[in-house]
Amino acid sequence: MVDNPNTDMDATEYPNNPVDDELIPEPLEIPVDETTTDGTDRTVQQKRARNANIPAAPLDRKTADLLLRMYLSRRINYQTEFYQSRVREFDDNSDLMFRLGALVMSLSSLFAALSLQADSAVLRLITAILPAVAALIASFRQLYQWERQAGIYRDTVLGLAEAQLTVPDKDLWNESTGLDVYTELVNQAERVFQNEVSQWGQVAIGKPEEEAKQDAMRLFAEEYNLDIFNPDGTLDESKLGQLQHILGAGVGTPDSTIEIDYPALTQGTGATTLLPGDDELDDFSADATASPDITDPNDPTSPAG
Amino acid sequence: MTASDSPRFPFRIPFFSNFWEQLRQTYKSSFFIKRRPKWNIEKEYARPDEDQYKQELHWQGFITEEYWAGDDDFNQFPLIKQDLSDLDEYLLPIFWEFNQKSKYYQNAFYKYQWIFMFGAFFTTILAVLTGYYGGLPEGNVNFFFLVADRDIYVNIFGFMTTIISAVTTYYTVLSNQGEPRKRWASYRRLAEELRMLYFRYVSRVEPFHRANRIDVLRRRVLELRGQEKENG
Repeated sequence: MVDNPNTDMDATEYPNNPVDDELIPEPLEIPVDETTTDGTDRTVQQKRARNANIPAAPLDRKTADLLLRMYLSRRINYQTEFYQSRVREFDDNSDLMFRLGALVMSLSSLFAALSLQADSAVLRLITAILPAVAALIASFRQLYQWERQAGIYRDTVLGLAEAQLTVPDKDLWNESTGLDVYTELVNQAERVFQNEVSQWGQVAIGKPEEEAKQDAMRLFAEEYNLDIFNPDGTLDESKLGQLQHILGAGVGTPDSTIEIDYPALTQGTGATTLLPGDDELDDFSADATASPDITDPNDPTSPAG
Repeated sequence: MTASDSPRFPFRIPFFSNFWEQLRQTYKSSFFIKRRPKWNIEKEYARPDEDQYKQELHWQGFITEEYWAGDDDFNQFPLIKQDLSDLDEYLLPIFWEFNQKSKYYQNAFYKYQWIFMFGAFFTTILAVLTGYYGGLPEGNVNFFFLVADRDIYVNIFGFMTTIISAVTTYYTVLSNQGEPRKRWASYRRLAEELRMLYFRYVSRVEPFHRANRIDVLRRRVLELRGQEKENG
């Protein structure tokens, strides 16, 4: 037993145990999963593995079917409803502010004209106040950027709808549908959400659209060591054009143009790809049902308060 | 018929009752009422009782056995129950914390912005009124139905202009402290990253496709926690 050099007591004399017992797990109780892999033997107990080299216990058909239904309901439909309600609200707010602004500006012109005719102090007062009201309305529009946010959410809804194309019509569902489509659906939909988060973040931190695009390009250029910026830090449009031309040459159809997916650029190569020949595009060409981001340039995400 | 089904006013005049109801709904759903910032909200998340917590989980779009619309018996799906339990233990507490902080900073950001915008607006209005009354000839003047000496109005409006501009300046300075906009965006992003991890974990897709998935989950959550520290 080692005495504590900072006290006169040895360990047995401590009035209170200095260690919180609640933080110490019960001894040697190996956690178990009630795993089931075939849908029939549901009472099999299996020790929880921690091996990174073996795959997780595979899903049985019933579990995959339930997961598919839960994902469609709780992830895709829930988020879609959220985005749609926000788009409606943003559109309403945008319309309201636009109309209010137009009304105030019209009234301002009217009162200005009247004050010239009537030479009334009250009219001059109103004429002076109305531009302040118009400025207030413009400030709200600038602050909330409803049009831009609604655009991001619309793109997300479209992206989710596209991801749902992986799932067959309900009439065509069978026992193996869950196992067949679930992973692909989740991967595609989560990619849509990932892109939405990055786009929404640009709006939330108040970056103008052009600045956000420049940031995305800068990150992308650093990632691939591309020299597409001028010495003053601005984007060299001619070099960008050359890059687009080179990328366009890698696409099958000669007349196709490469649209730069700015939000995808911010995700780096981990989330999406711009360059033909990258892994994801190869996967796409191998699997016609897949739909990588290059065909879905503006996915987005994020419920924010 | 329940109490809520019974009409509150047995004698209703259709046009006026609808009119007032519509007016009330319009008022409640209008942007300036519905989305106005709250004066103060809690920064730290306080977990409610279990029933309320399950409801909040459902409202946030997570999976709960109690609110699942299907008639599936979750006891028949031990893998899913185990996963939900893991997530409840390792991921959801962090999600709620980030979610609450995101709301807090979002509210703080908009609160300061609203104060600034309305402060600037009223400062302008009051300055205009001060100038207006200052330009009137000496003697009694009207402000709506109130009649008083011109100098009184000039002094009152001038004083109010000073007070409101001072208060606005104070809150504008406060708004620059702590960067609420940046923190709001940061916490929101982290919370949404956690939401993505939640569904990826339940779905057993990469990076949760290996047997050590719970360890991967714990590590990823810890990494996101680390990003919170980086953001101050």
